[in-house]
Amino acid sequence: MWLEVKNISKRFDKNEVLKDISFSLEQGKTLAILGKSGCGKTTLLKIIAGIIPACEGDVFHQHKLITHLPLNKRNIIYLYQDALLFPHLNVFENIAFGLRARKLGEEEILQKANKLISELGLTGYENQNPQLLSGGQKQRVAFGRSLIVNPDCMLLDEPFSSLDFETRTTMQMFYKEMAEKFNITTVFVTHDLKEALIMGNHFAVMDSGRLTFYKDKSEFINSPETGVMQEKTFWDNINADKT
Amino acid sequence: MKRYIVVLLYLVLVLGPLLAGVVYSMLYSTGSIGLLSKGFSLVAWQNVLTDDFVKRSFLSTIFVATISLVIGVAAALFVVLKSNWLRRSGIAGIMLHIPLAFPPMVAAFLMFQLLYKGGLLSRIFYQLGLTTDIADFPGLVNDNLNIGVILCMALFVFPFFVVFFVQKMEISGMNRYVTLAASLGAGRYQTDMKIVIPLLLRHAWFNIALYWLILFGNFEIPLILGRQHPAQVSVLIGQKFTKYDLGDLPEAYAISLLYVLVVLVVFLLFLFKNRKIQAI
Amino acid sequence: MKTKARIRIIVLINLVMIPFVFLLFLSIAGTWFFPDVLPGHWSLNAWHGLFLGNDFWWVLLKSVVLSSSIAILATAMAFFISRQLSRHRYRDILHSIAYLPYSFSPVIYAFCIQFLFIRSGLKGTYAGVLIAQLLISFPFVVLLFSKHWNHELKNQEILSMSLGASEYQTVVRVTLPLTMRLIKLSLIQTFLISWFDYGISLVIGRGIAQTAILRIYQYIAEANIAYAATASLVLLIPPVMLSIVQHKLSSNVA
Repeated sequence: MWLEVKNISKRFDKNEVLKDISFSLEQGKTLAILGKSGCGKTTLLKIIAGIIPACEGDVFHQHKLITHLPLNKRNIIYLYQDALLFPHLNVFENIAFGLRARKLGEEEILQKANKLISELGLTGYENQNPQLLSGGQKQRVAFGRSLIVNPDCMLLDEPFSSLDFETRTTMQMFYKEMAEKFNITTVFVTHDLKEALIMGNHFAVMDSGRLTFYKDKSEFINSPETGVMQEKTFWDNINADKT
Repeated sequence: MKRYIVVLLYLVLVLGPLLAGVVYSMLYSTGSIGLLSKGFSLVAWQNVLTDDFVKRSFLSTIFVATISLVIGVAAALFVVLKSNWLRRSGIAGIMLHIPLAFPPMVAAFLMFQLLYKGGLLSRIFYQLGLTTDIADFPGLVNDNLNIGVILCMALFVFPFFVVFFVQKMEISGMNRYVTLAASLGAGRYQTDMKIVIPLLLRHAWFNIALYWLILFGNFEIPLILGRQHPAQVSVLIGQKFTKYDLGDLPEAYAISLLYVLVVLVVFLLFLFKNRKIQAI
Repeated sequence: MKTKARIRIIVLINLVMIPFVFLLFLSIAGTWFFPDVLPGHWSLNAWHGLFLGNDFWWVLLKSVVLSSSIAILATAMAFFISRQLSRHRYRDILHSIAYLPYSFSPVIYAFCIQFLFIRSGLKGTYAGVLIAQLLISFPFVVLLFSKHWNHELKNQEILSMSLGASEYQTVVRVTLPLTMRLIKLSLIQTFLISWFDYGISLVIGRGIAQTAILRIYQYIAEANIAYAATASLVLLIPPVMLSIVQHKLSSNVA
């Protein structure tokens, strides 16, 4: 398995936020976790990324224990809800950040960053101040900044929630394409049912710190917990009213 | 562990000398230590607490700090409300910041040269025929009412609050409240009195408290412009400490402790008030 | 309307310039007997005396070195310490404590802690004045930095590390650049606190460690008006320049 999470639990004071969470994921797959705000999904991602420690449980990458590794040694990138571009660096430098951290040669940085910038459709924006970009462009830069270091896994915490409907749809497609192209393993959390269905290959629901993992898409759709059928009935009834 | 050491270092740096100073002052003022110490005694404290000069010095300092602050803040409010063209940007902004570059010492020196009996103002009065002799001009420095000190302190406070209020007017979205009040039928005066001034003062509350403490403890202005008997608290303490009579030192420490007590009471009061304001 | 705006600015400039003009006037007023409004004759004696026949330059230079050292030390210490404090559970209380030294009168504070400097042999030395001034300017900078360490900056630091940067690289490439404006403000403010300080320099420096402001008081006490005015004008040059820079730094934020 590419990524394995085993028996993760987390408590803040006496409040149990995560309860014995386990799942595994193959390389290049996307696990979509559906959950309401406050259900513990951000905490789970932060534990996998190494930002906060778990109270119990372990994280494995290719069967190697990585729980003890600091976040800069894990090669797992956690992306926040907003793009969080470094405001003092231009688009090029934001994207090249991880390469500079790895002290690559200037030639290689130039070549890799420019190639990715072109693939992201950001050619011409290299010297742009990130604050002047649109919401979608900011997200592209944020993805590019992560993709360039060839991460083992990306953890996306509602990355499109601040975008308008149209940009959001474009970005969902864009990320899917990129994830396939770069063979990126992703854990994607969202409270949006439709988004979970679009983005995931595997599905889970998180509620009050417990994770329910589904075998496949149809099990996810048919489960009463996900609310997919409820939603479907609603739209069917609207159609019935019309006729 | 690392953070624990840093916090400890911080507390030692910030509170350490203060506490050491307070403990030392307590011991010195009670005769427990000191060059002429004859063992524990409350004589210095009895002297200080029954000394009319000390009492009057504290009362006068509290009065001067309060009245100067009221004048300075009120003047700043008036100017900012009447000059809605004032901005932090551009030349106007630079000009508003320049008076902040005046140390109290220089401000007091200028005020002295302006207000003393032979000062510029007295000469202008004489030339205008308002006075006929140098003695006719009222003593505005080192005077009984501390007028020179009050004027200087008010002028010292004034530019800071002008900049502060202009800044708050710009960034606190005050215009929205003003527009809203106007659309609800409030006139300019009503808007100022009911909306703008209360909001500005709410923002300024903590700075007002801090400035009160700064004025209460200021040394340079009363040293140059103030009345000497009784002097303002900081000057009085300075006099006691620098007298050649070592016997005065326990009293100097006792008065310092009284000063610390007043500052702590005001500090805690306003800290509490500030927390309440922030919590709203 | 434009003319009106111009007039307002001109009036404002004139009002702000009054104290400077008055100082200049006093510095070059030769004989100035009552009740004359203007002096009988103008003289550059004070300017000559202060800079050619006096060690004022030397005192000024020492003040610049002292205030610059305070600015650098206080800012550097506060940068690292306040970052740790802001992540402490009791950060609000820890930050409130920083108001305390700043709330006390420097002169009274100095009198109360002077025994520490006497015992350590630092009274009457520049090192003593530096340490004593640091005790006030350091907490001040901690306060200045306190609101800076917010969630966004913390998340940016985490992201930087998540992208593979080490802690050192994160400080140099993310934290420092994002804090630079505040660092500049802090350097200016602490320089000014030290530059304006009279009480601590007086008590801890004991007249041996001379600073420019102590020298000005000496001229005032000697009723040497022209010297006091000239020295005041020179003393005001750095603060005026710095307040303009400070204004620019503050405006950039808005």
